[in-house]
Amino acid sequence: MKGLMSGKHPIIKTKQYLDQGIVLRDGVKIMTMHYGNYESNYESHSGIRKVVELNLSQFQHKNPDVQILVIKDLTPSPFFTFFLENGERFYIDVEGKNQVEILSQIQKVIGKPKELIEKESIAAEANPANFGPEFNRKCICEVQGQLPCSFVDDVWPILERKELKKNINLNPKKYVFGMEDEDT
Amino acid sequence: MDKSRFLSMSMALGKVVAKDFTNRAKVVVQLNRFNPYMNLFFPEAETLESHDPSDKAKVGDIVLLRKLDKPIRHVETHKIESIVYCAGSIVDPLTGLRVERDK
Repeated sequence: MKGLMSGKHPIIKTKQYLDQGIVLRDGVKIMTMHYGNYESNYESHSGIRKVVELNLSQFQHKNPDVQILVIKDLTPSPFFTFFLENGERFYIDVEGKNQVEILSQIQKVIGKPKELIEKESIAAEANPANFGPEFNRKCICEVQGQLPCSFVDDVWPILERKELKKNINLNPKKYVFGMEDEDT
Repeated sequence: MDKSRFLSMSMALGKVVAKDFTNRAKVVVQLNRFNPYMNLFFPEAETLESHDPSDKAKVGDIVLLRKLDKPIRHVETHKIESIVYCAGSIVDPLTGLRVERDK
């Protein structure tokens, strides 16, 4: 494939890099980033510039339902805002911090912990006991201990099955067949 | 343009562009779309008509929207909940001071 490794940081386009993003909690709907190019405090915005350049695609790939915006040259101090579903919002101050310090603070405040992600992935799987045309086992005849398949031919004639039902012992602990005959 | 994804958003943040009628504002909303061949995100913008219950929004404000159950006047699908940044007097949320244009 020609032309796919162009750009400053072509590692951003690999799937292995995109899968290592931070997952946000369920209540978050909007996330915005504010920074700017000012002459007086140029170096204090250097940490957030790297986050926007290298980590923004990771956030959007792991949370496809969240609106992520980047707003430039609004206020002289850089910060993040998060808007929640019940109308609340809060800010994270970012001035003078490293790239790694910013990401670790976001994971602590509003990131999902590892145990919750594993619980939800296990609960979303299908029940392995199901059988049918969509699952692994097509018919109940494949389970050990059941009658063979009646789709092929007549396995057990129906009239003989009715006579067998008379000799069924419903409660073997209370009524033992041999003991009753001896008493009477 | 695929407008179904924008109309199904429950909350959105946008900028006011025009105000022709009373109690109605045009808002521009931006989303990122994924290109599966290049593995990159590209921004897309779309205008939404929104309902303004109190006629306070001006051109250039940044505004928070919320979805309505039924559209009002057949066209307005979202309503303006609150104004986040007012045009002309921007307040820095961390320090509480007003911002000059050059700084």
